[in-house]
Amino acid sequence: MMTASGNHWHAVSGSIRGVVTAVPREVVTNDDCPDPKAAQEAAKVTGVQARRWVADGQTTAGLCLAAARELLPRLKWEPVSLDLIVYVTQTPEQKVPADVYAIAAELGASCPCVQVNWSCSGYVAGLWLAMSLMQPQGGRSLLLVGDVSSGIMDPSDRATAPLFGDAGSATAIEGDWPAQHFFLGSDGSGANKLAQGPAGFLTMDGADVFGFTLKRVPGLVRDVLEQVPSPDALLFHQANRMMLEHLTKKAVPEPLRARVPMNIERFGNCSSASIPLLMCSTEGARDWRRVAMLGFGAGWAWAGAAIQLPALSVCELLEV
Amino acid sequence: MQQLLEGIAEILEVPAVTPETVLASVGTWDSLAVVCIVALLDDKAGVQVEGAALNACATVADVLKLAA
Repeated sequence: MMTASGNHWHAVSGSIRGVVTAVPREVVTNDDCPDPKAAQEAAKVTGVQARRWVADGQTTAGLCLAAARELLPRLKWEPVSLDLIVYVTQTPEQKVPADVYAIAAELGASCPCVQVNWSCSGYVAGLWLAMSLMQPQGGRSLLLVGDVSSGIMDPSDRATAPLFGDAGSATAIEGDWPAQHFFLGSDGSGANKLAQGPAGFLTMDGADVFGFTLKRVPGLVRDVLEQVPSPDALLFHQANRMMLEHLTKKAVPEPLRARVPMNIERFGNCSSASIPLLMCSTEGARDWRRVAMLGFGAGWAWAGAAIQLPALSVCELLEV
Repeated sequence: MQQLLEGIAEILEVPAVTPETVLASVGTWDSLAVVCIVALLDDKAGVQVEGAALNACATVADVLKLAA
């Protein structure tokens, strides 16, 4: 059903049981960037002071796998008990077969697997997909979301090189909770504005990315807040500090503005993994019971959610 | 208009600009400045502009026209 803001409203059952996000161990400061001066200049707008980039041999799948290997034993979930694995990444190792099968085998799971190349909307859209695929019978699903954007960046591009960081996450979901509300949409007219160009590098028209968010995100926030009027936290995709501050001022009611955590200073824009990374790196996240999630980016694509959370026994940041 | 002029000057990190200021003559007129101008026009004028429209601006007066 479409809302007045032009978002498609889906309500599905499912409950997040735990989240682990893995980041590469090494901190890359602006001074460590290939062009330190450009990184410092960009930081005035983006806010990014440091990020994590993978070391040689580390991959998106490896980060997500590390997160899953921490998460599943902590929940006492045997990999064979998984009914579904959904893997969201735009930086896979190979096209055929999808990487998710190797990940499942590494974990020791034999369930059906789905892999989707969503971008910055990917965590929220991934929750929607994983929960939707478990209707109506319920069961256990594992959502893996991550990107190694450093692998597709042109080091000489002042717009993208200092902005992005790498991260991979694992989220355990069970299908036994009242409806969670998702609001989603897409607009392919922006397909070439934030894309992997012919040379294989990520290209970005920052002004048009911002223009897209101004057009779409306030309505997304409005729809989500109708379902969860006083969330414990509003978890925005960590796109760019100036953009986030502007969106907060424009779209978030004043009493809720103190509930908008940010971590882009420490981790950069971690694409689809930015929301789980925000959960795992914000103090007090285990106490959140109702959150708003707002993901938006390449496509254009956007996904927001009003999520009820149980007490999360696992909500961890892992350095690998 | 004064608010916009002050905002543009702040973004471009210069003491002041006038409608006649040629953007290309200011060393800080780059993609980051364009992103900030998008925010400024939304905030102060309630106008959402596309990057291409801003990139086509030669002078500050051209930017102000987008806000009109």
